[in-house]
Amino acid sequence: MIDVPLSITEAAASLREGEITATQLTEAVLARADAHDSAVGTFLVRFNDQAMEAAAVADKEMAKGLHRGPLHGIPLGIKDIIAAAEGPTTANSLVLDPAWAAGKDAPVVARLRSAGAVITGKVTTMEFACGSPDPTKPFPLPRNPWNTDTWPGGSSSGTGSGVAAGFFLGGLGTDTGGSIRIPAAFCGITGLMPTFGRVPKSGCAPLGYSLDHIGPMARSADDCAAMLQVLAGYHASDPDCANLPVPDYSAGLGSDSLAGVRIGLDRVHHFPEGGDPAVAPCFDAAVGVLESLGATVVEIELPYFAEMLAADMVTMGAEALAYHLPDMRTRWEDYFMGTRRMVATGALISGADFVQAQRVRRVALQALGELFEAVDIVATPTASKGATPYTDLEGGILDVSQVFEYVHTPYWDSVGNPALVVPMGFTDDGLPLSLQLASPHFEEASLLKVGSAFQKVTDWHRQVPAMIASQMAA
Amino acid sequence: MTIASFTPADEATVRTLLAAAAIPASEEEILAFAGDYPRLKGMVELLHAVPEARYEAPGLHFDPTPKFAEWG
Repeated sequence: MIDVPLSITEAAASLREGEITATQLTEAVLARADAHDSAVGTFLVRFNDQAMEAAAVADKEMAKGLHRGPLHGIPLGIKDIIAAAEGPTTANSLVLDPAWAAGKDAPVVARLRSAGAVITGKVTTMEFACGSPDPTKPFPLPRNPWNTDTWPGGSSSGTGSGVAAGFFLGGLGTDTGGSIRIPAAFCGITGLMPTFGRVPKSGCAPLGYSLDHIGPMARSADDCAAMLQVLAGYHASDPDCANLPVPDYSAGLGSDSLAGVRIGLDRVHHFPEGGDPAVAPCFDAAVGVLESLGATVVEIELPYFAEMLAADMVTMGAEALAYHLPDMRTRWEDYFMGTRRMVATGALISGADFVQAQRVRRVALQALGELFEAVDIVATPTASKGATPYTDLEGGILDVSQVFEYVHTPYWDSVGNPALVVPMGFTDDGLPLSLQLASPHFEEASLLKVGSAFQKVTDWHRQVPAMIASQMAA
Repeated sequence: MTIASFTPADEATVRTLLAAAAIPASEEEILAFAGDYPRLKGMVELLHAVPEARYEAPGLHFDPTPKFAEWG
């Protein structure tokens, strides 16, 4: 068995140089999943045969000199609210009609396939990308590879745990209140929520129509850039998709200079009481790294912070209930307990409340636009604690509202700006901590440049859980 | 299940709204929703209290000439 490269970028280089084959790479990651997935609960279904066939095709193409780019021959995982042709999409739920999207690829999956990626399977999500784990339902309980007594975060739980455990080198997540960034943070990997509309979301079971984002989760910012390059761009099937040119996301990567980059630090809203004591020193050290690379930092306060958290909750509740109400009326007990509690909140919100949330979102956008004239990037901790212990589960559910008291992601969903999260250290208990960076709309290249520079001089993103460290290439 | 404190009015409102939506929540769940309701109501009131939004248009977009493209 080969030593599996840690990142997409490194694997792509090894494939291009002929040091490994896509078949060897796919065999190796599937073997890891064979060995460890029963403890981690990443996969809902594996596409072993199809993955090996895709890897063999990639090898033949590369042997002929046809290189489709950095995802060619790379094993990836797909969150199971996104359609892939190999099998039905479940949304980690008993409720979703298996006929929905059967045999079809969502545009994002089709784009990954066209780029030569190897789809290894569908992975766990919180049901319909919301709520919390429910051990009474017949789905794997997702566990964090860093400590299997903790939650890997959600809703893109399987993508986070699968990348951290090395079951695939990257994957797709979705983010409506933090569902890419929370599992990326808790699992010690890198995740990017692109600008709303940058990546088409058709073929993905909706949660909040005006809040949903599909984006990459992988080892590094460079890996996320490689994936975003393939995922981004207009698709007429998504009415929210922006018809704008896709820049070269690799252009600014690998630099060790952030000279001229102005970074705003919001400490006001991101250090609640009860947070882990390691967060502040890790954040300060990360900011120090950015300064050492030439960035200038200033203290700022994000405008309408509490209002945007409220707007995310109100908008998500109303939009999610519009989608789920028929099934909630007839199949209430089939839903996870946490999903019921979150989605039915929409019934407690009036139409006027929903519209008001959309008015305040515009007010916040204007104020934030003015802030981004003074800074290029906003930096905060992604969360004020490490991964949530499963001992906090009560009656089978995790109280998501309590989790969001120390998770700082929903603001950026409400305003639609892109946000990149990168590992920045560990708690005393050995759980990953994460730095969140946000930029103006459609400035993902700036974010990725900062993340790449940070990761050029730090190695937090290269740390792997002990359970699989012995199998990882150095 | 953790249930926060709530008033009889909160409980009555929640029962009415869930019933109006024909959502078949259990008794325990109704009480949990009632416990969540003061916090939710506080969030909603926060949104209605933004003076800068008084004459703002909502971020809703209706396209009268949509292109209904398929995917997959």
